[in-house]
Formats: sequence, C-alpha cells, structure tokens
Amino acid sequence: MTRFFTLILFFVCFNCFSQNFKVDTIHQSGSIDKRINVVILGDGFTEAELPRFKEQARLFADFFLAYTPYNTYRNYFNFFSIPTPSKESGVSNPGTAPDAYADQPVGKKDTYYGASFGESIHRLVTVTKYQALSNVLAFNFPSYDLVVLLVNTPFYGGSGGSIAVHTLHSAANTIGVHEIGHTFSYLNDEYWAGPQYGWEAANMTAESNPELVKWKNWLNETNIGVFKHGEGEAAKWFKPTEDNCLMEFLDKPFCAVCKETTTERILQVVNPIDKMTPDTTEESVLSEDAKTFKIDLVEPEPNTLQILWSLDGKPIKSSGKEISLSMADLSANAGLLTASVFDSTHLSRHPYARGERTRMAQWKLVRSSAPQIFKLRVSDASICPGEFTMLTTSGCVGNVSWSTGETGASINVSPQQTADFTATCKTTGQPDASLKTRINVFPKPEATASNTGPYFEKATIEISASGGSSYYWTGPDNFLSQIQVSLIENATVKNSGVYEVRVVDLNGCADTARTEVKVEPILGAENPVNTLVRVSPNPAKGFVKVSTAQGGESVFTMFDMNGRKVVEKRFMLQTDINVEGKSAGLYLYKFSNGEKEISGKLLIQ
Amino acid sequence: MVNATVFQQFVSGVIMRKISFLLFVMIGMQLMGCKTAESTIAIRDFKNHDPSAADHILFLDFEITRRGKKTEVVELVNAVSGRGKMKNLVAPVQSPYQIRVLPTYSSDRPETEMAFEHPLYRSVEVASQDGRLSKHDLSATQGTLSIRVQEDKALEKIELYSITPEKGKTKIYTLNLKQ
Repeated sequence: MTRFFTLILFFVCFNCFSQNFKVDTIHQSGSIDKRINVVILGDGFTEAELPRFKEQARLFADFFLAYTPYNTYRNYFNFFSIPTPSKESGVSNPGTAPDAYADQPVGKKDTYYGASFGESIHRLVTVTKYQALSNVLAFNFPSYDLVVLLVNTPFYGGSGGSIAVHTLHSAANTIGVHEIGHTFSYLNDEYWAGPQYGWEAANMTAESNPELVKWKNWLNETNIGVFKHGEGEAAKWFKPTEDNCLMEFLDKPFCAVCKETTTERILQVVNPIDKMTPDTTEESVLSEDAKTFKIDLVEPEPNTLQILWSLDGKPIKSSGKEISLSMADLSANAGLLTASVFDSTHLSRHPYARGERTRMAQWKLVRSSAPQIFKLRVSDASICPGEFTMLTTSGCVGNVSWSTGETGASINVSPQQTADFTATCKTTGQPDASLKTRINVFPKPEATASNTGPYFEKATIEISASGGSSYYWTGPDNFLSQIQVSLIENATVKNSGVYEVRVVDLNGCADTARTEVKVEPILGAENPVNTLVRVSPNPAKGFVKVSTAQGGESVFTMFDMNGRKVVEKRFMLQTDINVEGKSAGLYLYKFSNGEKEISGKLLIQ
Repeated sequence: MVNATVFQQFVSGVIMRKISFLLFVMIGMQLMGCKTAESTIAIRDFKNHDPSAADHILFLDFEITRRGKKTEVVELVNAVSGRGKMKNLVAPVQSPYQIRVLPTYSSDRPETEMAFEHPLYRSVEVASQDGRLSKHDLSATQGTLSIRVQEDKALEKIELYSITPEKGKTKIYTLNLKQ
C-alpha cells in the first residue's frame, strides 16, 4: 500500500510544473514571524490581466487596512499578493441556480483555481482546484496567516471558510472582512442562521442579565445592548447590536464588541515588542560605564503603548524606549531589568487586559567580575569659568583623599583657571596609589550690548552684541532673537526696556550683557504759541518748517545721535529746511536768537 | 523440454494472475472501506521538500468520497512542503459535521486535535448585494480536505476522524510519515 501511494505521488510530481511565482509586497510593516500575514490570490486573470489583479489586490489591502479597528493596527499586518495567470479570463458560471443573474454569461472557464459561481446558490463563489491552492501557497508563501482570493468578475459573490473568496464587485470587499472576522477573530454571526449556529462567542451568548453579559462594559455605548436573536429557538441567544454590525449586515461597520474582540485577537497574535537590544538570551554584564537597553515597538495609530521600566521589580522609569544602567545601579551582584509594555487602547474594555497582555522584555544583569583597578573618571575635563565638574574614583578598596583636602570616592571641583587635581588611594598594607587629572578652564567671553537709540515710535530699533559666536536676545514685549545685530521695526513704547543678550563662544562658555532701549511717543503739539520756536511737522519727511516770533537773526542747528552737526541755517522769522536724504531717526536741534536758546528733538522718517 | 518450459510459463502465469488478483482485492478492500485506509509517505517525497530548510510546513490534500450511506473513502491526492513556521491561527469549527486531524509524535510532545470543516457536509455563508447574509447547508458525495501541519522530527503519523451526528467519531484514515 505504501508503494501504491508513493507511486501515485511520484506520478503527481512527474506531471507537476513549476509552482513558483513572484510574491508582490503590498504592505510590509515587519518580519513575517512577527506580523499577521495576509496573502491575496487571484483567479480568472490572464497573463495580460495580472497588472489589474495587482491593482485589485492593493485596493483590497487598502480597504482592509482602513477598516476599523484594523486601521489602528495597520503596523501589525503584512499584505502580499501572488499573481497566477489563468488560461482564460473570468469565472465559471453554471447558470443553474434559481438566483443566477440574468445578464451574466453562462459557461465554464479554464482558470488557475477553478473558481465558480454556485450550482444551487448562485452567489456562492468557491474555488474547485484545491491542490492548485495548496501548491501555490506551499511553494510561495507557506507561512501565511490569512488568505483572500479575488475572482475576476464584476458580478457579486463570495464565500468564507479557510479562505475568504469574493469577486471584484464594489460591494464585495466587505465579504472578505466579514469572513476574516470569523476565521481570525472567531466572531459569530449576528444574524440568526439557525439553532445549529448558536454557541458562546464574543458576540453571542445565552446570558441576558445586563450585569453578567460578557459585553457589559459596553452597554452604555450607542447601539450596544442585549438583543434577542429572534423568537422560538432564536430567543435563547443574545447579541450586542440589532442591525448595526458587520457580522449581521455587510453594509455596517464592526460593532464595539466586535472591534474589541478583533483588537484583543490582534494583540494576542502580535507582540508589540519587536526587538530587544542587547539580546536577552545572554546575561548583560554591567561595568562602570553605562550600558543602554532598548526596545523597538510596533506602534498602533494612535500610539497607546505604555512603557514601564523596572529593576528587580522596582519601577525606575515610566516612559521611553531605552534606559542606561551601570553597575552602580545594581544593589547586588545580579539583577533583573524589565520593560513592560501595555496597550491602553480605548478599543478594548477587557477587564483583565493589563494582566493578560502586558508584554515584557527582560534582561538578566550581572555585575562585572573584572579585577578592580584604581581609576579616576572626570565628568567633564574642560569647563567654563563658574562651572563645576565631578571627579570620581573607582576600584579603591581603602580610602580616597584628594589634593583639595577632601575625602571620598568623588568630589565636585570648580576651578577659576586650569588646574591639576590628584586622588590618592590609601589601602592598609598596600602602597598608596595616586592618579592625577587636569581640568582645563576656558577663558570667559566678554559680552557687550548696545543700541542706537533713543527712538521715537515708528522708528527702527537696532540692538547689537559682541563677544561670542551665538547670541540669544530677550527683551520687553516677549522679544526673542538669535541674531547678533537685531532690528525691531515700527517701534512702540512697549519696546522700551532692558534687552539682555546671552553670548556663547565656541567653547560653549557664556556671558550676558544688557542694553536699555528708550522709545518715546511721537511729539504731537510740541510748540505752543508762546514758545520760542515752532518746528513742524515733527516727525518730518522731506522738509521741516522752522518759525519764530523773535525778531533779528536766528540760528537753527541739527545734530545726529552721534553728536555730528548735520544742518546749520541762519534765517529771519521763518525758513524751510530740506531734510531729504537725511537718515531716518532721531535728531537733536538747537535754536538760538541773540541770548535766547532752546533745544529739542526732531524725528525724521 | 518444451513441455517443461510451457509448464513453467503456465505456473508463472497462474502465480502472476493470483498475485495481481490479490493486489486487486487488497486495493478494492481499501477502497471499499472494509478497513481504515492507511498509507505511508516519506517527508523527502513531499513536493518542494527542501532538506536544508530548518522548518517545514506540510500541506496535505485528501479527497474524501462518500460510498453508500456510511462509508467515507479517503485518498491522499497531494503532499507538498514549504519552508517556514506557521502561527496556526485556525478558527474553531462548531459544526456537528467535522473532520478531526490528530498528529501523533514519537516524543512526549502534546498531541492536539485540529478541527476542520467536513468537506462532504459544508455550511456555507451566502451574501446578498443588500448586505444581508444567510447560512446554507450543502452536502456532496466528494470533497477535498486541505490541511497544513507544522513538521516535527518526531511526527509519526496523522490520523483523520470523521465526526457526524449519525455515526459519531470514526477514524477514516491514517497517514504514516517517514522521516
């Protein structure tokens, strides 16, 4: 008998042809062994139609990955397609079922998987060449988790079972999602299919007490309740929604209970801890130098992963994907570092979720057994004036004394200039050991700050600093700038005040300087009738008119803010002065007539 | 001399005919279901078997045929191997008609039955364009059972059991595996 079957198999193999096909990657978020792998096959696509199959496969993957709750966990899935050419295009249609479509051509097609509409139920589209299916999957993607087969016809139809089969009809995509709800999440149907289909499932129960029903945590949500499946035998069974779930109607989304079940199933299959560094299979030796431990995570969207780091059961960090430890962190010669990851998603209200699906990465830690050597470590060998650095010794069995007169394993020093420091290890019965280190102190930068004011409103303030390579200004009215020479246009009185600049040099050393800026309001009617001189307009643009009631010769002189004389004019009673071409800004003027003299400010725009 | 030779040929012919008849009866008995069918296959004889691969997944297709009212005849029609490991996300089967697959091992590895839909008694889900769904029971005289099993060096045999409300649980096939 053995030979008989071996002979048959030999015959089969003799006749078999290559089953290897190119596997196209549609969506790959991670390695095959750490994700849920969905393989999409196609039937009834000829060689020339394979690009259309690839496009249809991509469209289904996009549809699936946009469907709630799969959209949140799209990084937990891989999607691949395997194009296999059929000899003929389309699908077989026996045309014998009472519900056969009148406009669909009847006939048999020679296709790769032999997909066919049903003989007695037309919309039931199934494959008939199971060996071809096994061969393609075994040769090309044996590690698949879910299989979807797209049938090249626009007429509606599909089926479930170990693989989800559906056509290219625009409404047929949800057949695939519904069937995956059965095969992947073990969801039951929420329509009444008959007493033989009544069993306990996440979305079906014989328990009707709202306080005990398995979806009691969702009862306050819209559409969720405890609904009878129907009358008679159906009255024994209950479901969480009425006409509001994909598991009952294909044009509805998953109900909250089915979303929760699907989410829990995804999180059961895929560990969000994708990688641990260093490898956890060997002990990690901690020395005096810090060692970094890291986890790579598969993040949902939005990211609801909570991370807790603990050492020997004691929490030490409540966030972050990495942590650094040295032997100083160990309270004994060995320890256990744990990174706990829990998905706090709102898609699930499973009461025991934290206990059941908190995933952990653990590293066994051991203290380095290397012989202790007297060492001196400096936290920062070069510092700026005013800063301090920590000098730390290790490996001294006895006592450590310092050239500063201090004792202990470590000291902080803050020299004002470059200096040497010595640590001495004194151990009874052994000669003293000394180590010296030099702390380099950089010169302090000398910061300066100035401005070109005083200013009137609407003028441009100019503040400048020197002494470093980087400048960080702060000032009134929330002023911030990192430009050495900064301008503030259209100044107002609010810009008045002290501006401080932090100047940092190339060594990273800093100094601060300040400059006070004055901005005065624009002079409205500075010249009452009885004043000695009238200067208008002020602010002036192009020309300024100077008039006086004093007889005799008058002299009008203008100075810029550096004290340079820019205008001097002698006149009788009244004159116009051309200020075209003069730099915008504040000027001082002096008016004199005989013994009388007065000065004031003139703003040129 | 001639007579002796003719006699020898006659005897040989009779023996050959008897052996052929015996083989025919044996095969016939197998096919008639008088005894649970059993066959043996070496892992190396699986199509696509790669001895250099660390892990193998075995794909097996069995054709199950109903003979009379009670007898189910099983034939192994395809055995193919693939590289890798499977997560085994097989959904539970609730139907009263099932095929149970029991891999057995020479080691102390736990032997866990896997349930599959019975290919002769299928429950199918039919979708309508208005989004409504319904279930239908279909029976057939012949169907294909496709299974996928993770290979194990200690995997000795795979037994198939048919479960129906009428007959209960009946062993219908044993596939012995040679490493």
